[in-house]
Amino acid sequence: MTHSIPQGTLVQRNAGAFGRFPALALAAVLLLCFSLDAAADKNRTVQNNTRTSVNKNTNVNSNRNTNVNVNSNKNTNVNVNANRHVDVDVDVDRGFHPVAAVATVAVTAAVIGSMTPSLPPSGCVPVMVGNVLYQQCGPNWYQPQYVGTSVQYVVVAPLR
Amino acid sequence: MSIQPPVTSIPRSRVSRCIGSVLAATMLLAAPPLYAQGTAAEAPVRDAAVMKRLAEVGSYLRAQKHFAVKADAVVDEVLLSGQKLQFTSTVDYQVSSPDKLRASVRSDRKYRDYYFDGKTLTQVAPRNGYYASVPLPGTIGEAMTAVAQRYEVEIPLADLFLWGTPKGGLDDVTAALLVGPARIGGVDADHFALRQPGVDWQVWVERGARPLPLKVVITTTDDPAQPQYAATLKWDLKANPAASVFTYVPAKGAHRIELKPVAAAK
Repeated sequence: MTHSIPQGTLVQRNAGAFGRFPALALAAVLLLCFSLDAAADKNRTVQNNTRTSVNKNTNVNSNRNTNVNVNSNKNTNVNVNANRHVDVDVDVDRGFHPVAAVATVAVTAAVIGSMTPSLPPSGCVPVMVGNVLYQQCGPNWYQPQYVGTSVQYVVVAPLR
Repeated sequence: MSIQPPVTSIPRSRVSRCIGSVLAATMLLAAPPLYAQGTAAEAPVRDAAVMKRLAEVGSYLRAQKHFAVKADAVVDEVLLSGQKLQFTSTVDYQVSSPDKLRASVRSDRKYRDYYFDGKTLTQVAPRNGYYASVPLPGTIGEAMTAVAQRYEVEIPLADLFLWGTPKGGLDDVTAALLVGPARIGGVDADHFALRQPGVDWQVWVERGARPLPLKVVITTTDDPAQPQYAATLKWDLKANPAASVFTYVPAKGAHRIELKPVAAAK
C-alpha cells in the first residue's frame, strides 16, 4: 500500500515541524532508512519488541556495549577441542538462512569487535585457549557469548 | 548487539520501501488513535471484583510449594515492513518455591534451558553446548527480574512468579473488565481483560477453589503493530521435582561462555 503513494506529497501533507522543512525531513528519513537497511542485512529484519510478561522487566533502550576486551594474555598451551561440530546446531535467532550473510565475513577479514549470530558454514575449528572457547574460521577468530538469550560470536584478534 | 557489516551498496528498492513504511508509521503516530477518543469521555473501568480475583490468583500461586506447568505459546515477530510472523514455542517449568526453578524453552529457532537453585542462574543452549552461569540470590521472581534487567534474558511468563508478590504489578492496571465465561481445555474459566501502560492483557482464570491462570494473552501496545504473545497453561500441582532438577551439571563437551551484561544506560 505504501508503494502506490507519492512519497513527496506525504512529507508535505504530514506537516508538523518537518512539514516546513521537507528537505530536512527527507534527509532524516533517508538516514534512518540507511541505518535500518544496513541492520536488516544481517538477520536483523525483525524487531523484537513483543512482551512475554505483563510485568516489564527490561529497559528496552539499554545500550549494549559491542566493544570486546580482547584478552592479550596468550596461552601457548592450545588444546584443540574436537567435541563440537559447528554445523550441528546453527542456533540462529530467527532462522533466516545465515549462509549468504555470513559468507562475506568469512572471505574478507572480519572486523574485530563485531558480532555475528552464526559462524561460517564450514571450516571452523573450536579451540580452547586457557579456559575460554574460541572458534577459528580461517584467519578469523570468534568468541561465543550470550547477548540476552542469543548466542553471538564476537570477532577477536587472532590468538596465534 | 547490532552487527556492522561492510555495507558497500544498498538496493534502491529496499530504501524506498523503507521510506514508505517510515512515513506510514509517522502518519499513524500523528493521528489520534480511535480507541483513545472513545475512552477520553469516560474514565476507564477498573472492576474491583476483577482485581480481587487477580489478587487471589497471585496468593494461590504463591501458596503452591511444588508444581509444574507447561505452556503452549505463540509469539508475533514484526518484520521491519510491518508484516507479522507467528512463532510457536513450548515452555516447561518445574518449581520448588520460593527459590528453585527449572525452565525449558523450545521455540522454532531456539532451545534454552534455565536452572535456578536460589544462588546461581544458568542459561544453557543444549543443541550447541554453550552455557553461562551468573550469581543471582533471591526468589524465583527476583532472579527473573534481575536477569532481565542486568542481562536482557527474558524468561517467558515471569508474571507467574511475580503475581502475589510486592512486584506483582497489579497497581499498574488502569482498566479491568470481566468479559465473561469461557472454557479452556475443558475447564470452566472466567475471561478477564486488562489494560496498563504499554500492554493490554487477557487472562482466563479457572473457576472455583483453584484460581489458576489457564490462558494468557499479552498485547504489546507501544509497538504500532501490536504484536501478541499467547500461552495456554497446563498445571500439575502434584509435581514434586527432585532437588537435582534445579542444578546444572555440564554435559560432556559443554562449554561455559560469558553472559554479556547490559551496559549502563547513558
